[in-house]
Amino acid sequence: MKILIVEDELELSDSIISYLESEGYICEHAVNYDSAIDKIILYVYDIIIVDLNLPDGNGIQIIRKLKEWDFKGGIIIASARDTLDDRILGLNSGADDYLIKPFHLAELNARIKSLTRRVLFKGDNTITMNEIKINPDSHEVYIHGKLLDLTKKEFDLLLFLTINKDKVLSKESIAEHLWGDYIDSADSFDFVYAHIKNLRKKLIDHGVGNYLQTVYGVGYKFIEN
Amino acid sequence: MKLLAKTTLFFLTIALFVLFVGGIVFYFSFRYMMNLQVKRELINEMHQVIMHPPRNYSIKNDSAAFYLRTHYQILPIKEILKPNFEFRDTLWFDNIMEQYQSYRVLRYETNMDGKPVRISLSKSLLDSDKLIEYVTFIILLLSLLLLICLIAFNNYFFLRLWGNFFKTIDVIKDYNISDTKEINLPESDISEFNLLNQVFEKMHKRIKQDYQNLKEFIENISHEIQNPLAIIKTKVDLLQQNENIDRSQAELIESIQGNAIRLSNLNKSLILLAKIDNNQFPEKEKVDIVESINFHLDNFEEIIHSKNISLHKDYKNPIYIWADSNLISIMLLNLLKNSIYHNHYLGTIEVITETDSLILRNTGGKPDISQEDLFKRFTKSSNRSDSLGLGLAIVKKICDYYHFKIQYSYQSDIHVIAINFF
Repeated sequence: MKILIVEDELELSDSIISYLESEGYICEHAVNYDSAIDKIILYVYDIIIVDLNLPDGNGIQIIRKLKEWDFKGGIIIASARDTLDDRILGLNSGADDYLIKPFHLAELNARIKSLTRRVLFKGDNTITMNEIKINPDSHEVYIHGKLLDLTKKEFDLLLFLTINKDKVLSKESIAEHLWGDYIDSADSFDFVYAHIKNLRKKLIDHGVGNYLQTVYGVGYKFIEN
Repeated sequence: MKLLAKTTLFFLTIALFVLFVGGIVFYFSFRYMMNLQVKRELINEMHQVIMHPPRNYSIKNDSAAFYLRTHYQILPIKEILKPNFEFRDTLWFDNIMEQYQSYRVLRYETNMDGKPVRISLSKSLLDSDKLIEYVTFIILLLSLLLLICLIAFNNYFFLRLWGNFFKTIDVIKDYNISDTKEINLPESDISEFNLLNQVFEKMHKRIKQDYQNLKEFIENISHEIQNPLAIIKTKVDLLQQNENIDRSQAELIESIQGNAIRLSNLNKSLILLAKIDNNQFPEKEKVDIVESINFHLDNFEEIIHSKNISLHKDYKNPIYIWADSNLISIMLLNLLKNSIYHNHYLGTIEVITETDSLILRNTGGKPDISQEDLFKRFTKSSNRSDSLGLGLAIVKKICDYYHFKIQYSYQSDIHVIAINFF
């Protein structure tokens, strides 16, 4: 799967590329509007991540060009602009998702996976990891074919962990994924801990292997083996 | 004291003083004139009596007759003791009027037909007294009329003259820096008021300019801050994937991560506050308060369970308000989050909706922040250094923005937040 990252902050795009490549994606980078358009004309991408503020133009213009050229892949806007107007404008112009900077790489990864399911592989959406089978549309989890009863937040947590499997997830990124903005990090850590504890217990009770590991001082890791 | 009352009082004081002094001067000078008139008439008549004594007059002790509308009396005396005109005032009983009346008497001792007599001429002072009375009454009436007119005209002119001033005051009163509307000050034919308008307009332009600069500065700086924060956040994410990190390094990384997020949240919260200040949430839609509360409570469901908090929802009435749904959501989120976070194990949370208000009651320890400081920015419990201390400031800001009344009270382990929406 090929991803184009249009971002003028080199350090940021380096981090994104490094994380996404470890996830198995092929990444390319464009620093401005012109080079992005050149790359889009020359190559085919599955997903394009666009920053709105570019030195020589606006990310919205790129999205409009893509729609004009009948681009079939997914588009994610990654911008520091967080007003409702900006979001509406972005999504109306044809973007599939809107991610506000600063974001966690795990969050970006989750958004890409979700977009891949929605846009690229319409049809069988289930995510399977060993004995765990997750259906994101119906919000159902099956362990060895048996339905696992999870609360909404526990489901979101399990999905997030599965999507970012074999990666260390910080408590902060989990909290942000589950509750979004405007929540003090101090509060959310206890909340994350409580959720992890419940989820781990439910998984083990249903005979799932001990995949959910605590990484001391950092967070958690979901290991596939 | 109002300017009108002050000027009226001032005018009244002066008018009353002038009228009082004027009245006294008028009264005495009028009386003096009247007395003088009576005296002159008496002397005149005395000369006539002496020169042309009335016929058939008899010298009797009690003889009393009228001559030229003047009561006169001629009494025999032994010898002339006072050869001069002598005035005196006296009271006589009037049989017709059946009351004592004051008379002015002119006595003169002289020889009449070779015998010494005392001629007494007396003139009733009734007429002059009555006149003085009437005149005084009319003067009083006029004074009263003058006072009423003074107050009425003062009021009238006050409103006329100061009308534009009050219009200007109204404009300034409703003045909102974030309003994009031009301010409209009424032209006046009074140069002082025009001067006031000019000064205000100048001030308004300067404030507006400063405000605009500040707004742009805040927007730019907060966006510029997000980029390096995004870099830090992603770099730390990458660093955390490294499997060769030992515990002390992990702690350092976690600290970097936590503080980057804190800075990012701080930035977001400050932008939100600035945006509310800048009136950047003009859109309104119908917001269902109960639905929003339920949404957030569902979000915290597991946490409420994990703290064994019992939750009582008592939605007596649905509440719908016109507002930006995002802002209302942020407000409720902050309130509910606080009621959960500051609660203790096995505590309670009560959510009550009345016809126009929301009451949130929850158990929790005594706050070490005074009630007045509670809604201020960056006030936080001493034992929570990692909190931003902006949650309640944001709540207060949103309440102020929509003119909701918010009240907080704490009594024996129960925190109560009440918001009146209308």
